[in-house]
Amino acid sequence: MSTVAASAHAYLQQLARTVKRPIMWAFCFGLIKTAVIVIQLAIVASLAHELFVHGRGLVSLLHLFIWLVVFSFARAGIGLLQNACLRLATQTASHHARTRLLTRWRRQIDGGAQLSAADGALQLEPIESLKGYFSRYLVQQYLVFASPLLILIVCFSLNPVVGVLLLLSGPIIPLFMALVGMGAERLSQKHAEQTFALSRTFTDKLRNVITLKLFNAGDAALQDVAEAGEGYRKATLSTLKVAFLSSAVLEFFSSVAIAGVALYVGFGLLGYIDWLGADELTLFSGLLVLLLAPEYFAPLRQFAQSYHDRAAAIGAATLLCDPQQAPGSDGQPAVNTGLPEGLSFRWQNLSVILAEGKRITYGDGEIAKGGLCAISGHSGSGKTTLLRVLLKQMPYQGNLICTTEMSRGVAYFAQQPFLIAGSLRDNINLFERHSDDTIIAGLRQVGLGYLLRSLPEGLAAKLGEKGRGLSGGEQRRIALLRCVLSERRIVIADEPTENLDDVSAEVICDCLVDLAATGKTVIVATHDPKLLARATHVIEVTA
Amino acid sequence: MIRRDWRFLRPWLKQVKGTRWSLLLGLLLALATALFGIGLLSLSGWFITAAALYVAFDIYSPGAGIRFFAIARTVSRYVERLVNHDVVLALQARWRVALFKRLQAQPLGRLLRLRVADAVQQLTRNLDALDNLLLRLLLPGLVFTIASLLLALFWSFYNPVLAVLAIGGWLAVLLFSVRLAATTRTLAVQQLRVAERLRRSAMNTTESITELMAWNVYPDYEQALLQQADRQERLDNRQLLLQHRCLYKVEIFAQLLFLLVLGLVITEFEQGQLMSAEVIMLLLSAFAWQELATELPTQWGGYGKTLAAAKRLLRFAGQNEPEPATDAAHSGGNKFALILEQVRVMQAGRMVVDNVSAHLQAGKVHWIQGASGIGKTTLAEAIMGWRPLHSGSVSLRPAASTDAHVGYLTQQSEMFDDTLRANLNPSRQRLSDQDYWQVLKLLELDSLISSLPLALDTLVGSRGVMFSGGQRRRLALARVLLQNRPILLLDEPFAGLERPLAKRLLERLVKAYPDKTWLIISHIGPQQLNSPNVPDGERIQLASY
Repeated sequence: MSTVAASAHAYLQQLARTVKRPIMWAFCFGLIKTAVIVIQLAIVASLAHELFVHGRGLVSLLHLFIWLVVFSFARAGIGLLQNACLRLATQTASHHARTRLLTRWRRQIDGGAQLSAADGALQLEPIESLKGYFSRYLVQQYLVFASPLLILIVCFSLNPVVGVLLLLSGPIIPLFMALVGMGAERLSQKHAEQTFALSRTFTDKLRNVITLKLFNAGDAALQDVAEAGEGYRKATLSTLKVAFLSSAVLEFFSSVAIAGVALYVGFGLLGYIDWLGADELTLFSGLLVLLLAPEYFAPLRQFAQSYHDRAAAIGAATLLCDPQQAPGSDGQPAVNTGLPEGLSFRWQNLSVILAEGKRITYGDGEIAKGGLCAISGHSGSGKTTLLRVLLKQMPYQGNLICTTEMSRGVAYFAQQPFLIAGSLRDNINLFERHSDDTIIAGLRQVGLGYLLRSLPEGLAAKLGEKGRGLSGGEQRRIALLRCVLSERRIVIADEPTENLDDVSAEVICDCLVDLAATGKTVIVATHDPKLLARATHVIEVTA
Repeated sequence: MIRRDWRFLRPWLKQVKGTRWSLLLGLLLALATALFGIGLLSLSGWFITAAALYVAFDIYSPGAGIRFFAIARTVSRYVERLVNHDVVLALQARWRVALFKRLQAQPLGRLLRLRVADAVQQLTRNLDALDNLLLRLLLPGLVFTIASLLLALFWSFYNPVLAVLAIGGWLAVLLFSVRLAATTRTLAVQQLRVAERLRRSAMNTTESITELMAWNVYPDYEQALLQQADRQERLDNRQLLLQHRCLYKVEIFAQLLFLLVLGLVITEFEQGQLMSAEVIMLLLSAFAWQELATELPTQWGGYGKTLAAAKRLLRFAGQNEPEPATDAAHSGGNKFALILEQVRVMQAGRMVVDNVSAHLQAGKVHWIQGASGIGKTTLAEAIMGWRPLHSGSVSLRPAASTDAHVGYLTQQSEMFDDTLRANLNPSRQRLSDQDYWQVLKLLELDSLISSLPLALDTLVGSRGVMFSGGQRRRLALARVLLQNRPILLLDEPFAGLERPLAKRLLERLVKAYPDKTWLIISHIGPQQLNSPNVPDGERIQLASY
């Protein structure tokens, strides 16, 4: 837990380093804005003082009025500049976060990890959740100290008692933060549990909406959903009662401070109090400290509001930061050093450590150029892992030499082929481009001639998301076609005939044999006896 | 535009009905908080000025007033937040129910095309976005409007021109915010579209990353992803830019208003129409108003996203108001035959089922056979009326609706995260324990389940993880049998079962329910089950080409 939290914090800090400059500018503008506000309020107070106490006319105060106009508009303008810096910071930080995620995926694959669609979704919500941290929290965490300090200095110079009054609520600032933080943390923890319970009911009903309808069980399900929602409301509300208290305390202090300042200044001016500079108060200083009091608490309020941005960002960072480093390879496979002509791969003392800490040791072996080499063994024996080692997607210990043909790339035949929502042509041409004639000939070769005939739009026919509209066997034969059309000399296939109908399995089997006959090296991991029977070379893997 | 938006928001706002009083209370408290804030600052200013300049005045009531405003603001703010969050939570619960109701009113064929995992995510995201409707759009807008008008009323006691200024300020800020909201409308649609595209590409890429890296094309996909992400960032940035610009305009305008008020009240003072303390009080109330005004653009910048969420939820769950479900009553014991006449079904532009005719009599076991992926399930769904027929017809004899007379075992053994009893009887029909045990015994599940400490009240866990695939299959089958319909359409009922067990079950079931019409979809036929001893019916063989 603590290591995850630590790496999440480190992740956020690293990202924060990339936006140091815009954040610094935003901080400067924030500070300038506070200064401008102080000056604006001072002008208002001195206008009042000159008018009411000294009884000077409006015309003689024109210069003050002009300065007031200048500073009033400057206040809005500086806000615009500050926001521009924050936008830049946010954009830069999320760009970095995205790039880091892409590199992380690459490293994970190199390290032998597997990714799923859920990893892809990390590019969406988690990155979104980071944004508040950079656009609000980061600069506010500095301003929450600097801006009140500036105001405090002004107040002290005007009247020490008011300064002390505000300062007294000053040490409460860390207390505020702790309170707000604790409240937010408790809120997010409890909230997470309750959200989970609620979404379990809701998701469960949604997932089974067809069954519900089929069994006329809609009303019963509605009742469940309503009850779960009601329970969630009650539970959440009881946590909110506590969580909102912390911000209520903040509100309370800021209200009481304003009231306290007003009463102190008022009674001081009336002459009821005469200690510690109360007798030196004027309308100018009294009015100014009153006006400054809300500004003293404003950064705190904003900080409290942005505190949940931090919680959200830490939550997202735990998902986005780098997971534990996988054990690295002894080295990259040596290319062609001492590999006899006619061999594509040779390995000695090869072993792999899986994520669970299990070690798979392979017997020494080699794969000849050309021919159909089958890697067989029962499930869990490490067939697929060996393929991944050959694909350089798995770190290993030992000695592995591979042919120079590898550098031109591998034609890889996946069990769940990558298909996009696009035309049949685009899907076949996904990794390498081929002419329509070649594709049509190829389709016949993999036994999909009928498919082309049944599609009125031919190669331009649109496939659905993830190949919807095609059966599993047809999808896999599209992937096979990519390998057939490719010029690459090495074809690697993972369980190409598993979970298929007999017709598709047979076509795939034939095609792989034909490919091998053209002189390509075809390597398949399989336990299909029909395919094994037609292999030119079988490597038995035993766990 | 307003009318079109209203159409998307109305179904959600309609749910406010039951919480009207809490909503009113929340609004009043929010308003009170705002007014107490204005009051605190204005009264304090009045008091200080009076203290500095006036010789004799009642000092105790302003003092008490200041203390009252300070405490009351804190309290009303706290209660306001609680009340309004309560309303939102209650609304959300209602929205969920309403959403679910709409979803259930959809034709099954449409539900079938939903990808459930995505759908769930999308629903949750959009429901969260809808929260803003009340807390960030409606409430701040109303509070700002009412507070501004009350301020205008207050100011009008001193000078009608001041009231005009207040109303002008209110209108201007509202105008800026509404224009911002209108711009984010179109922007949000683009943002959502780009985000969905990015999500799809990112998920596809990670799912197939092994293949992409093996083919050495991963760098291209990385670049493409980054480009899509940049497009999204640009749109997000643009939304923020618009919001910040609007904020800037509002601030400038608020400052301008303050300066005008300042000029006006000082002139009034010089003409002797206003007292000095009143001048300060009016000025400070203008200051406090500024704070309210500058909050609005930040809140209303989210309008587009909220509207888009409302729209998406409606599109997802169906635009139509749900109709009351027609009660599907049926006469349990009767015999029904299922007749298929020259049935053709198209799927994705291809003829998947071509010219199938059959007369399926009661009391017999009929089979639909063929390799996997060949269209068996498509035919079953066509029989259920979930898919349109390209041509031909499906009918019952005696004539009746398929909806109420066919029990359908779907290919997936869907399980609810609930008790066994709830899973076996989702519609909560009146069944005695004996009914359950009788069916469970037929399916050889009785000893397993009676050995569980809670028996029928055992929780099956998410997706029924308590049970193996074969057990789940039989539980799903038990659910269909307990529904007691005359025609049973079973899609791969024996998946995950050993063949001797499958044979045994089939023989026992047909014997126990001799009047039913059995239609079994399976990639294996009776010969692979070692020819079970049941009345043999028709065999429909599907071929691919």
